[in-house]
Amino acid sequence: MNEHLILALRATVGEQYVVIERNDLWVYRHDGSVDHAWPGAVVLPVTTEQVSKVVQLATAANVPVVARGAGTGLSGGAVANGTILLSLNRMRRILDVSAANRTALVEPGVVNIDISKAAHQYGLYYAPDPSSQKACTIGGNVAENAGGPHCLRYGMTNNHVLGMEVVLEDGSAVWLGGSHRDAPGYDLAGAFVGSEGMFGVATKILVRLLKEPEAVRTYLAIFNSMEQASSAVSGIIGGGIVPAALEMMDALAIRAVENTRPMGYPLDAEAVLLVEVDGLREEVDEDGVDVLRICREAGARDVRVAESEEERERLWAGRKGALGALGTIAPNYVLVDGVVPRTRIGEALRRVSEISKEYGLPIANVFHAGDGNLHPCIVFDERKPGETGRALAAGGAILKACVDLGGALSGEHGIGLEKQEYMPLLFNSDDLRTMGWLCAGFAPRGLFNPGKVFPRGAPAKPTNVRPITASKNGDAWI
Amino acid sequence: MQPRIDVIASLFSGLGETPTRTAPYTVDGTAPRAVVIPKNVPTLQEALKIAKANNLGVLPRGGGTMMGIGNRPTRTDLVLCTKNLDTLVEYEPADMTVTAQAGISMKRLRETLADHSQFLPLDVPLPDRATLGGVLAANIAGAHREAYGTARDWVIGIKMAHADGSLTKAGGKVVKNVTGYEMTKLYVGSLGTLGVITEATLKVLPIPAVRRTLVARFPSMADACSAAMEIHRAGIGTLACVAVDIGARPRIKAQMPVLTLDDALLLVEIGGRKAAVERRQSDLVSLLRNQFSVPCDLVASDTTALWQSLTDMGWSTENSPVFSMRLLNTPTAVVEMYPQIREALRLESFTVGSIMQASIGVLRVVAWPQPGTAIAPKDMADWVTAFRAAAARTGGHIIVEQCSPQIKQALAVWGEPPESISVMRRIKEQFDPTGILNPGRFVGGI
Ligand SMILES: Cc1cc2nc3c(=O)[nH]c(=O)nc-3n(C[C@H](O)[C@H](O)[C@H](O)COP(=O)(O)OP(=O)(O)OC[C@H]3O[C@@H](n4cnc5c(N)ncnc54)[C@H](O)[C@@H]3O)c2cc1C
Repeated sequence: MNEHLILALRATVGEQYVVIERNDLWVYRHDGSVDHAWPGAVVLPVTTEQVSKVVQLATAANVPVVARGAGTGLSGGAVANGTILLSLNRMRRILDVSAANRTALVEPGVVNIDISKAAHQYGLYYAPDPSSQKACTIGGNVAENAGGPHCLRYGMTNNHVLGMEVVLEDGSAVWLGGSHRDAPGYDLAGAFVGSEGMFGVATKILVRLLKEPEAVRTYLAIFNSMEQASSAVSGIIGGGIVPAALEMMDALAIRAVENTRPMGYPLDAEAVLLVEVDGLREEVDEDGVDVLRICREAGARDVRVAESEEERERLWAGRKGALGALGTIAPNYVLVDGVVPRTRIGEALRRVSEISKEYGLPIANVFHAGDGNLHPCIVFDERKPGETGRALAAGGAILKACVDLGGALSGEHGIGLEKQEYMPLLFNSDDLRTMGWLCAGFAPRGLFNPGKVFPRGAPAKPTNVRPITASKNGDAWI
Repeated sequence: MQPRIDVIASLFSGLGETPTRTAPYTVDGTAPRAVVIPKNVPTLQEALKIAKANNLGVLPRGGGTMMGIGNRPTRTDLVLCTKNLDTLVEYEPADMTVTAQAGISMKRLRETLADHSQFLPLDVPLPDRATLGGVLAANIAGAHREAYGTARDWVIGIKMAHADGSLTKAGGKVVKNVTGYEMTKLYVGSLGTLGVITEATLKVLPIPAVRRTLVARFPSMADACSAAMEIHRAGIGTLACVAVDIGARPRIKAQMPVLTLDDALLLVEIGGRKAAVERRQSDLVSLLRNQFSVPCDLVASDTTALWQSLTDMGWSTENSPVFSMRLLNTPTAVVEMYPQIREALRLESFTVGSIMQASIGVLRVVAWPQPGTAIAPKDMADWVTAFRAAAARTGGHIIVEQCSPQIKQALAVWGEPPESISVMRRIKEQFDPTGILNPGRFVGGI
């Protein structure tokens, strides 16, 4: 990267906050996917003014800027090739928690769970709970429109972000949305969420807080077949109950969990459902009775209830440990994030199991069943010739199956580099052009995170093949 | 160069109905030069292409319930009406999603969903006429927003016909979807300035098993609002909680306590399953008794009709207001500004009705004329400008929803454009480079 630019960047954020040495850049090559590239320089600003200045310098030098939070993204969004990688990790102040307005104003580098921790003293919390919430940042959540198990009832990031301060290409910092409802004009805040870092750099974010529920109850329902578990999912949703969370795990995942860290899941079960209901005590009682009945009617051979907070955590721990546990089966996996309408879950799972046979690779399912967001995890061994290619092809086949069932490519992880070549499965060139228009409205020069989301016309390339051992967190879950 | 007036209507022949009497389609005092009611989506696209080729200003229209929203159009050439695109495309109750064309009436959509004990939790004025497309484009929110959010939270897919006649889709039919940008968020509330919505997919909810409305009388709006804030803080989980003044009372279709001039009513809706509703009711009653020494009674009348009548306030054509506005501000500022705004309107000899959602800082004020009163447009404009300045001090806005074309001439209905206006203008330029869609109607003259 141009020496003058480096000097100017250093003058802006301070000598030690511009990283250009290969040894130090190593950790910035990856996000949570396998896509990787060397950034030209990592710049770590600490104020909005510094971000503005850096962006101005980048615009003047015509060097793209890629924002980065915690780098837990699963679609290559924070991977920068030769450009400026703008790490927002030093901007991690919680600026305000307002109990009266039920909002929090935070900097983008604040870790998701820390918002709920700060709000807890007021009996409030921040609802979207990506499984990476102990590590991922609110800036990354905004860029990806992150989800999580409790988004079934409470909605995704976009339903909880009221506004943000954004630095645009010309270095100006503007507010989109804000605390007052119905601010006149286009819903730019809503459009910014999920823009995968391509519209600008979020430097402050105003989020909505919810009141902590009075009561929570968690069930583990055990089934002898995936069909039964799927029909329990339909029964619960169709019965007019919207649980806080409704997660499914199949036999392969159950066995992987039990082989790693026994949680008491029956080894001969074909599927388990984790169902959580919350709200007033009365609501939890009423919904709980129905959940029990529906699971039993669907053929559950046992339904356990967490009797204490410790038991609840234990039930979740099994679910949370599932992805890491899959490492006991094979060294690598491809994680697919397709979504289908809820009524097609059963069919989708059958297709996944056929694809598993067709491609000769085991596929585990650990997923957000309540909203139809599958996470088939194709396990393989990259050392065996041809397996990587086969696993990727199987992933593509699953995405295609999801689209054929009326679904979509990604429920929460984003497109990034990983799925950009699959976009034409869902969107034609006219559809994609409108996305281009929106992007051009925010960033006419395309300075931010170029080369993501839109297909490049090249055939799908090997991505998201990730050694399980490299997973960021032993108890990582998806 | 635009074609002569008599030529314009003929450009669109064969695309659907083309009523020759355009007066009923008047917008802000001006009748359009032509009206087309396309019979299907391809003809709607064709109409857009023709309009663009001839540089005609296009005003999209659904049921026509909210055509008064926005600045006066700078050009009123073609009204493009979606009301014949009214197919229910797909409804799978177990998916809890529904897809319909833009022209479907909200009433029909509501009835279809109700057959399966589901509903779309949006407060829509005049649902028998309002269309889905219009509701999404105008994005007016009502009393239930505090529990359910607004249209942006329920739309998961949109099909849009653009200024160049192309038809695109955004989002999809699944409830969780991050495949590409959130185009649906951009489209909802874009007031027809980016394209014409032709179809939408929405999430729906099961209808709560039990719904009840409770009412309490307070000596002032400020007192009613303190109670509303307290209810909010206590986390009782209301579906709606609004304070209304004496002017709004006659609009409510339910038996209501009698009020004197400054009194206010607090209307609270609760819902859910039986035991939970009982609990909410008793929490509410004891909160109002213990902290405000105010009794709180169950309203005997139909809850749905009651809230619909509040939603309809100021929109019905029989008794149309001279003016209506929304103040969006901090809860404290809203409570403070209310008496001043009401007084100013009463000095003009209007009948004034107000609905306040204190917990989220929204005040809606509607003013009806009394026989023999005349409006001085200039005074009204000055008056709104003064209150806008006051609201701006706490970061608030005043949006004028309805007023006469004369007042509009002296007043930007949306107020000062936000600081992100340059982004909005660039987006508009991308989607509609020649500016034919609802020209001038939106924020900052977009
Ligand atoms: C174990 C594990 C579990 C996960 N579970 C979930 C889950 O349950 N649900 C879910 O949705 N995701 C999940 N994810 C994915 C990931 O955690 C989320 O996408 C998260 O939102 C990324 O946040 P981050 O801070 O790590 O962002 P990064 O990976 O650093 O960046 C992601 C994107 O955001 C952009 N970006 C970052 N900060 C900003 C900013 N301030 N302004 C503009 N753009 C910015 C980047 O350019 C990039 O495009 C999981 C990941 C892992 C590793």
